[in-house]
Amino acid sequence: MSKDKIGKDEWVASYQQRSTAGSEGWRGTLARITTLLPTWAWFALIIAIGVAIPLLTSNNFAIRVAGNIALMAILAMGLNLVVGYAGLLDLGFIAFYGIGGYIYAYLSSDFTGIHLPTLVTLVIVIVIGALFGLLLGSPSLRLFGDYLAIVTLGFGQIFVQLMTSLTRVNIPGQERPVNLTGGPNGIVNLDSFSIFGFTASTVTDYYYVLLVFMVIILLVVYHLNNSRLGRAWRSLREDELAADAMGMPTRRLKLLAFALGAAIAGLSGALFASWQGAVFPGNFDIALLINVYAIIVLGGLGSLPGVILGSIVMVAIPEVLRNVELAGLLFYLLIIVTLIATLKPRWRSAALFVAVIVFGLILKPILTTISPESFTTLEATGSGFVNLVRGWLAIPIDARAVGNLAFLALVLIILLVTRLKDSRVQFIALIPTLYLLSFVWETRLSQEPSVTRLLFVGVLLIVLMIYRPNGLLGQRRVEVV
Amino acid sequence: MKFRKLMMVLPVFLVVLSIVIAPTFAQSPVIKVGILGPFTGPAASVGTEQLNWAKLAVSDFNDATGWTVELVEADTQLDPAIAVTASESLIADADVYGVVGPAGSQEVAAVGQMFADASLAHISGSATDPSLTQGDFNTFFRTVPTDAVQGPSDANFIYNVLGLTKLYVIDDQSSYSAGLADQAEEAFIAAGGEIIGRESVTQDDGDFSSLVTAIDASGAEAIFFPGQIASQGALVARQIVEQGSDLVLVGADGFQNIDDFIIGSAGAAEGAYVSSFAPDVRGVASSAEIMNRYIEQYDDKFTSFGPPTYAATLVILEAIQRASDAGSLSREAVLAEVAATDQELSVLGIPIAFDENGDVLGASFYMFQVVDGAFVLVPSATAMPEPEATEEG
Amino acid sequence: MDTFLAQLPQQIINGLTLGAVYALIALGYSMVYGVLQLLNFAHGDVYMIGAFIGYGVMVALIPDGAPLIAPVFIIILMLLLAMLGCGLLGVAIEQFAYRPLRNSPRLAPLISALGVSFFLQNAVQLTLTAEFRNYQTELLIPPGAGFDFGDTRLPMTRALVIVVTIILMIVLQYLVRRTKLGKAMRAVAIDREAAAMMGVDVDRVIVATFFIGSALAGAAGVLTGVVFTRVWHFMGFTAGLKGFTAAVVGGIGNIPGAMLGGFLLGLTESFAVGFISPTYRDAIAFIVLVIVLLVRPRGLLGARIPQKV
Repeated sequence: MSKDKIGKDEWVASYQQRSTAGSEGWRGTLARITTLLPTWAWFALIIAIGVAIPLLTSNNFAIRVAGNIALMAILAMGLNLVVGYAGLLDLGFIAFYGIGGYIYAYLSSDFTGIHLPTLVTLVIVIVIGALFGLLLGSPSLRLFGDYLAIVTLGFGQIFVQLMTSLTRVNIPGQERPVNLTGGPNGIVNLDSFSIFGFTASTVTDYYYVLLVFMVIILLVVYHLNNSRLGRAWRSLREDELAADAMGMPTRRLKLLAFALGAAIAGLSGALFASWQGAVFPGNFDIALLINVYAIIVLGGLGSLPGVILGSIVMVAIPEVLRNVELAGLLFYLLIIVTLIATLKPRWRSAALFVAVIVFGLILKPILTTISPESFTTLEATGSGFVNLVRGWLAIPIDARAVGNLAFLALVLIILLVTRLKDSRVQFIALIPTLYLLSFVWETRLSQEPSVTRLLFVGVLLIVLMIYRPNGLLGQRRVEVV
Repeated sequence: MKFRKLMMVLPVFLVVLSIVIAPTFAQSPVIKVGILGPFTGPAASVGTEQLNWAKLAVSDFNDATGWTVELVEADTQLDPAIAVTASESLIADADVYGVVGPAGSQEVAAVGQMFADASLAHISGSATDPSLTQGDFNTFFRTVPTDAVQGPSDANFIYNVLGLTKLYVIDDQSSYSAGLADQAEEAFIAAGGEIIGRESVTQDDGDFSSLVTAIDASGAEAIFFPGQIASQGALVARQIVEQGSDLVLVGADGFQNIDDFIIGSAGAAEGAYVSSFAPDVRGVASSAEIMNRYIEQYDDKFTSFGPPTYAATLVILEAIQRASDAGSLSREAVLAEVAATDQELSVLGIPIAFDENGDVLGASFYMFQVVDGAFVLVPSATAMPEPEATEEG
Repeated sequence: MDTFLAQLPQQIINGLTLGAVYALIALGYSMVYGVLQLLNFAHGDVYMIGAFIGYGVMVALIPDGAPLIAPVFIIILMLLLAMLGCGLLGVAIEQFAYRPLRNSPRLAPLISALGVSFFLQNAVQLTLTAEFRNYQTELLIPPGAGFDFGDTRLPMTRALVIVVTIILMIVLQYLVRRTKLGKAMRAVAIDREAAAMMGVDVDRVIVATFFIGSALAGAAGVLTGVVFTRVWHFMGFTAGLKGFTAAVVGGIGNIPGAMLGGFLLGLTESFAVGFISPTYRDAIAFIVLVIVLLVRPRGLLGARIPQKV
């Protein structure tokens, strides 16, 4: 990189480039593409795409999802600092997010009567967030790895508990118990985000606000990454003992990561609160924590573009899957694509599809002649393709119960099929498997889209981890034994 | 190698593809009704029950009128932030003319303004926080009375009818439970009673032995526990009997469930009281048919959170029908029709009409006592005209 | 003070019962962590499936309110089948979701475990619906049965839980301390590579560890059903977290530590409910545990493992 500072060794500085850009395959290609444009141009490109989204669609849902992606990206960048850079397993991270949200609520609503200007509130939130980070971090750093996880987990749980229950606090001087937190019904009617005369009111407004903040945090974290501090963190992550032996102030570094991560989380919490216009304890449960962790691990720990990619995947995919027809289409598409990609030679997948179709065409008449009363048809839907498939399947009368059993059978069969070594046996086994897959989809999975959505996310996580354990854009790390 | 490349690109590819394809799914105009609720996650049992009742309402309506209205489900997992995104997906779908839900009061608080801005009517069968209809949510309605009705009624019943003056109040930290407990507590004090203590438990608590011991020792005469989970009520009842205490247990709608509360307590619930904002649907003669269809299609376990959702869905469907018959099917027209609803007899056995805030008129409450393994209506308790039939389990 | 002392034995019984369940779950966590340094977040859902298997057995053997065979056999059968089923499930999870990630950075199997957890919860909801189910314990153990010590009552159900847990723990200790497999497990926990070089079949040991740990979780599930009756698809979530907490507090990777941690957590929770406030039960329990960790940073019985360079 040409923006060398004085004294920085050129050869060392260009190490990253050399090691990845010279390599074979897609990674090398990707690395070479990224060197086509200088980094600032990439930033500009991302910003341009981000800005363009509300201009390309007037679908508020899409804009809102995009806003969620930006918000999650900010949150994930904060967690990335703590987990990806400093290597600390913080399971109470969402508490900082919540603290930011509630502070915003206290300082910008009728609940306390205080209405500070947004800018001031944000600054306060960042400072308090960092303070809480230090507060939680200091005693915890005596602990190692997983013990730290428990303490932070406890902190996260206690936070939600307190916010839910501190509704009847006896304060000396007040005759009736005071409601400190609004309880399960939270604090509502928060002031809108308002800065330099601009007040956000629509989804698009908030989207731009979030986009702006995402870019700011992105820049901040990027610069931290490339600074001495970033290198110090990376060495800490790679091998703490060695870093300590080199004389690095490991404790201070960890605290700094913790505090900065907490500050970013607090900031995103405040932004979230202003967007939702309210805060509830139900916003800060463990499900969200799991989501953020999935984002950073999927994206690749310590990788900034990975965080954005991870956010897109973890936020957009569940939303896209809300639509049942679309989910069905994606389901079949995914199966087809996976088979085409894995079965070699290529003609095998085509043969497989033909075999499955034929299998179904033979099976249905056989079954219906054996016992015609046990079979029925499913109702027609809007999509022609789906109706075709349903007509092709043999649907029993008690579709639900049979579908459930089929689901269990399907899981077992798929697990077995993936273990088969002999490709010919695998081919044969795949025929009924695919039939069963379609059957289970049409009878059960498409009937319960909300549950199927989460099933899909679960499977996605497992599969993605198995195939890309370092995350989608993570660096392959060499573990020295 | 190529597979790895695919795995990396695949998610992004799929997302982009779906975003591109999505607009092409705009098919021929179909009429849709949305439903928001916790269909997965910790509150899934309530959410799926509401969903099933709503599905039944839609299929009953379709069968009766020959229309093909579609129900679009939007899972909120009881998280207001997810509820916001889910609501947006419904609002953005121009074929959605009315929405049932959200189920939780905190969710309504988060999305009410969005629906108001979109002039999209939404009716909840379970959000009972009084403040929801006192603000600007002019498209929000509900088919159940608020905590401000039920709480004082329950408190007055305990104080005046049962004559118990020392009460211990428990909630399960849900907004339904906490709101009702708060209202009851205030009213009880206003009536002249004494609140010995007020505590919270969580919905996945299984162990109430310590709690009951402590309450027994505190001198309280009765426990008011408006919990959402009937089996928790059964566990409390069991502990009371096991420890030989003479505490009287009073619960709310959440406990109105024969299987979980009465049978689940193995007889310990005998003598306990349960208040409800609706008469037991099982005892309403006019709803027997609907109930049988539900039992046939889904299962025979249902609580008092389901039928109000059926009523809400039907209100929307009929409003859509009226608006369409009048020639102008639009969200505003449906909204107006919903506000003008005047159902003579709903599945709940009572008529449904809304006041200018969106609350259901004729809000009443019913108090049942567990006698001989069944819920029996306590006649002195109702403040409004009683329903047609007496309740049998 | 009077009421405190009067309530104390009862609260201890409550605490031990709760603690027994936590201990069984914590054992699974600790054992797996010991050999793989993996936090198996799907463990809580294995517990949930154990509870369901027990429920299924109960429903099958008590068709209409009348047990087909003697209640004690039904309970034994429930336990055995749940333990077997969960053991196999644990092994399957290890084979498909964790083994490919054996040499990956630590967080990858964690996320995979989360994926498994999502999958199990939602698969159960899909096939068995989200409604609550209750064990009909009163058909197996008469509700009034129990032992009375003065004012204190030890119901039969709770006695059963505590006794079964103690038996399982004794068996486990025997297994770990006196058998070849146990020795192999301890060796792998200390140093996997060295154990492999010494001829220990590491893969087999890992499979055995998962089987045993998951079987214990399955037993915990059935016992929970017997005492607390309520079974549903989401019950593994909180129980898993608490089991994890108990394992860490006891010293993760340490088997007696997991038992101790479980009982400590159970007692703390019961005391918090009985003597302080049920509302803040979890907060108090966590604070106590945090204090324990601050005083003993490696957990109650955690060993000082020197860091190798």
